[in-house]
Amino acid sequence: MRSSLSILSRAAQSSRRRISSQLRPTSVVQSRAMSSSPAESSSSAGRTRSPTRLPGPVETAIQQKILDAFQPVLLRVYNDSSKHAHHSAMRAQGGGNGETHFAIHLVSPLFKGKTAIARHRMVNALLKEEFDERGLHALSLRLKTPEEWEKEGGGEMR
Amino acid sequence: MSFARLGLRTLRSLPSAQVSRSTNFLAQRRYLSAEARKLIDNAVSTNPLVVFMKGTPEAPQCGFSRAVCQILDVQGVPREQIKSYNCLEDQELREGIKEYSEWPTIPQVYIKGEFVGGCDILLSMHQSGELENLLIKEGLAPELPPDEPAAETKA
Repeated sequence: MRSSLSILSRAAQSSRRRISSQLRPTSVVQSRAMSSSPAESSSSAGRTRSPTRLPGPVETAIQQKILDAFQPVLLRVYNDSSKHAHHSAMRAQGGGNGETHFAIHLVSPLFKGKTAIARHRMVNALLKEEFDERGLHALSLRLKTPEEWEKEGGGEMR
Repeated sequence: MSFARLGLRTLRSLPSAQVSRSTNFLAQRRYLSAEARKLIDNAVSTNPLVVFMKGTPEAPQCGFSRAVCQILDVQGVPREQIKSYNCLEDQELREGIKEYSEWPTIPQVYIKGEFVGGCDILLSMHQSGELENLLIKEGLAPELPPDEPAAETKA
């Protein structure tokens, strides 16, 4: 619990962030300075269903694993859990833990020459622990190579 | 880390075709009984289009399942061509299908016994025109009337 909280505060920055590969080592750590924001205290009190945009432990783990594994050119992790908390499956778990539904937009050179299914499998395999043991329930993926992404204008993915 | 988990982790790094063969026995130990596997095998091989979903096409219980049904509707696939299984009614199927396809989420779409993908993949295939080509090729959707612009084909 304690260790996951410290990860939480370290990554306490907007989850809508653009991470360029050059920033990789620092982007997560630099945000430590923001950890004393008032939002954090509320999140540590009611971390199970945090209404803030602070990334929770699962989101942080997703980001870190993808950063480590995929050399992302663009990475966005969106927590859509609140939109799904009323679903029957989530109600059965008391609305879920607030980290059940995510959307990931990822541009990585590792997808070159891979089919859509193969790309999804790569990400799913990386996040197996989150699926099996940490309550991850739904994952919406947009996975592109840098070339495909640039061809589409290189902006945000929809 | 248990031996089985270590083994699984190793297997995950292998090509998926190899993995699905070699993890059969592991999968069975977890959720998927040999019997359930046979039932799923049978379902995907005897029906040209199978959707494992939450709820039914008439009353989907999950937005992703709903999206898949809507895509198939828009593609002009007749409802009677769609064989759907409601995973919410069958806990063994719900977990078993994830093992069977080595895919952690529902919905899952099979066309002619081949796993096509989940909601994201169906949607992107729909947008690229790939899905239309596949459905027409397999005789699941009617050909477009000639006056409508055909979706671009992807080689």
